[in-house]
Amino acid sequence: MSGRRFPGGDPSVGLPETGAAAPPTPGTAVPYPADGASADASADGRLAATVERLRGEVRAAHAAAEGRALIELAKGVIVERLGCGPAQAARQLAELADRAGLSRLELAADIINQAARDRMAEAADEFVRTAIGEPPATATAPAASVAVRLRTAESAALSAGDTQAVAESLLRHALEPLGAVAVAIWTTGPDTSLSLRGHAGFGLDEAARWHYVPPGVTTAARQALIGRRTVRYASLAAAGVPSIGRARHPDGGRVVVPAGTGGRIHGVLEICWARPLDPLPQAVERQIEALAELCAHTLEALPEASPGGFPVPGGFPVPGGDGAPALAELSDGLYDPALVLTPHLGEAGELVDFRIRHANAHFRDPAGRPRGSVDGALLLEAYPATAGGSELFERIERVYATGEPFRARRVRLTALVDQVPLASLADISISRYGASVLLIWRVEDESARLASLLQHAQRLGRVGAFEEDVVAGDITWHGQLYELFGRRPTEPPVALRDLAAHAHPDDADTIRRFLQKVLYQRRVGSTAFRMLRHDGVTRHIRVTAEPALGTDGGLQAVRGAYQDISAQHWTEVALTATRDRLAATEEAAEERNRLTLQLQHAIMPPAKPPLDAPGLDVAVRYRPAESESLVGGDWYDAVVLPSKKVLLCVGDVAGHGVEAATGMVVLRNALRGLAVTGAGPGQLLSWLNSVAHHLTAQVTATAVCGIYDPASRTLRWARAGHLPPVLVRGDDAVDLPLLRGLLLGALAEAEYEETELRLEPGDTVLMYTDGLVERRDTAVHDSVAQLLTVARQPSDSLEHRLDQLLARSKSDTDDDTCVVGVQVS
Amino acid sequence: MSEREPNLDVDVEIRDDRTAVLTVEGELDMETAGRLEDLLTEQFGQGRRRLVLDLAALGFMDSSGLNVLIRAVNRAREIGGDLYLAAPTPAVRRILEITGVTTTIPPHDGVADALAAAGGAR
Repeated sequence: MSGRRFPGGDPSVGLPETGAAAPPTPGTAVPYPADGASADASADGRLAATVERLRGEVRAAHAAAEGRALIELAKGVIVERLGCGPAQAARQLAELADRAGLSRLELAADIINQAARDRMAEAADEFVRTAIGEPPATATAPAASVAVRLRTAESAALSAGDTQAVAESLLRHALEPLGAVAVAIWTTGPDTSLSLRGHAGFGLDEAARWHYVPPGVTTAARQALIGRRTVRYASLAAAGVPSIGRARHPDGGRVVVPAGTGGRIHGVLEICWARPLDPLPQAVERQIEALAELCAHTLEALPEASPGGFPVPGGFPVPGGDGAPALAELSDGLYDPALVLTPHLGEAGELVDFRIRHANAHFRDPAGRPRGSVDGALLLEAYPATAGGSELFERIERVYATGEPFRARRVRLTALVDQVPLASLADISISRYGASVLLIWRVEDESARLASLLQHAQRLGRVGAFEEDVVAGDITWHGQLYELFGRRPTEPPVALRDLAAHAHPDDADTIRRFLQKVLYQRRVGSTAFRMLRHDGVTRHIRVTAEPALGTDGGLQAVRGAYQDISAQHWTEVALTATRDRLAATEEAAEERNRLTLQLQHAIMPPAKPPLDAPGLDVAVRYRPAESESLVGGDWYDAVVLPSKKVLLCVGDVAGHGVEAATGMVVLRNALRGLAVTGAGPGQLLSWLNSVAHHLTAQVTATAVCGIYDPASRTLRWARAGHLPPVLVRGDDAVDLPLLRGLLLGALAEAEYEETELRLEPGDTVLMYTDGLVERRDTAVHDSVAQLLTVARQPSDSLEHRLDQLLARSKSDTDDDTCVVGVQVS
Repeated sequence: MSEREPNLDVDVEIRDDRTAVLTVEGELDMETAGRLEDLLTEQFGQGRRRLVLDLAALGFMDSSGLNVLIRAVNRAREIGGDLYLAAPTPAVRRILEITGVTTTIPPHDGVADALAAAGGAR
């Protein structure tokens, strides 16, 4: 965090450039701006005075070896900038110092500050500026030495072979002037243990006792590490915190600073005072933080050697670099989605983001993107929402900084799905290995299901998702929702509570119940309503919403979707109308069936027709099909013609219903009329065929037609595709021969064979339609044979015989059945 | 209405651009006649006017089915073709005889005979 809190290199806080002090050379490779703000006259004047007062102090340091090192460093800068040799750089430095009236050491510190633009320079600059504002007598001396002192410490630290030397140098050059008596430099292990890597002022015995602090022991250093911030104790004992050197300086103050670079805390700098500590001036605090950063750099650069022979406990074996490749391999063995992250640093070396170095095999992007589009991307670019309410980014940052792993269940994660934030609950694990962070999560099944459902639903179109933060009142609408609501994107979204105002008044209750369920009962709710838009359009909308509860169980947000179901609605309406029409059709059909039956009854009364034929007994039976819709075209006729002959006929129009019945009426009446001409049955059927073929299109019929002459007791008959009559004589019954004769209506012209049968008293002739014999499982031949068997049975009357026939009929086709029987008396 | 399941399978085999063999299997009645008629109409529509009906597996036929045959034969003959009935079962043959249809569409013993007759009409 320190890197983010203190963006390095603010140009306005730099030491003012004097004309002599290392003017920025054109074409410089060092990235700092030549700024004008610091070059104003008043600052110049103040600085000149200050510099004058600082001289004595600087001279004291002049002879020190560290001072020489500073000068060497400044020479290096000049070499680089001017492209000259070291000897020329030395001459240049001396010349510039003389011209500026500065010592070479002062100039060297200044040049390095200008070149580095780092934290050290800032701290020094600020120290100087603060000092200038204070009464000169009290503050000048310490202020004067800051720049040199820090550079000296830095120079010493960088040249030091180990952290122990760094600690000693820091105490001597930088911290003793601040009144501190001891310093400790801790390093953090991957298990968040702390190891003492450098110390000064505590004594060897105390250092040996504190060489290692296991994880979970809350010392002053750990407070700083876990808190990732500077911790100041006015008195260590008073705070009740254990740490190194507390026995010797129980009431002494402490300042403990996390030492990090690029977002990672490598260690902790702990500074010890002998006396209780008053609040430090801000400038001093910044100076200390600068020192901590210096420590971090040295810890990062120095090999993991243990100072003073103290063993360094378990370091995570990281083969090569940041350990990301090894982690990537490890993560592929996990069954949960995982990302390997490495820090991504800004120009000033501060942590700005994490690079997704690897997305493991089970990785599934919450927004449905392919793995390749995430792999290699920056975390915040790929998942902007991680920086938001989910605080995931902060958690990763913290784990990276401290090394302390983070494990939590049911963490609310937010992903952007088509620009709609979609929260889901997940179990999270974040750990640091080497310089990499491994992020593992397991999304709750229900959340995953919902997420994929939402994705699909939205892509299907006509669905607009929303999320409403109930606490903050923020409403997020999918772009499509504006269209759905007929609102311009510039208009505010409609809150759920205001939904009724946009709906048909009759739907207000429905919406109220829906909101009650979602907002108060906190259950998933869904309802349909008519939306009245500004533009006068009414849409049928279904809204589904789900409450999202916070960790405290309180309602935090409502998310859901609106769907335009108008099309569906009108389909349903159309379907209902069709159903109504169908019902009407059914009614009409029933009406027609009743009509057909009435027609049949009107024309052919089921009872015996009045017939006055001498010497001939006539009986008829008509049995309509049981199902009214199958009532059809069977007919019979028995009528005495003007010639006193008797027309006997049975017919069957193909098909059922009104059409068949109509055909029947036509043919029956036609036959009656034609029969009056006195023509024989063959001729009659031939004419009837023409009638059927021409007058009633697409209708065929079968018929058997006989003319009985009572005088001669002869029956002349012909048939048109119909079963021949049955003759019952004595105790025998036979079917008459199958005369040639095509069914009616099949061809335009047809001829019908005619024959004459002389009847004897007592003979019975039966004419019938196939309703009497038709069976699906029996050939007609067999059915007729069966009929003949029944017909052979003795019967005391014609009527009784017909009843017997009907009763024992084996027909299974539920067809009309007509039987005409004549018996010669 | 009848509660029987419609039971008719018709397999259409195109022989050439004028001839097709329709194998009719099951029961040809009020429920199923429409399907056969549709298939026959389709063949006429495609220019095939010599149609052979293989009735070897047709177990039942009522007046509705008969009407389909009659309309088809009339149509075929109107356009210079014909309808050929092959191998009717005894039950169906009896119906054809009773209705006199055998006088106008004489049935053939088998598909080969029917096709031969159709070829001879070429």
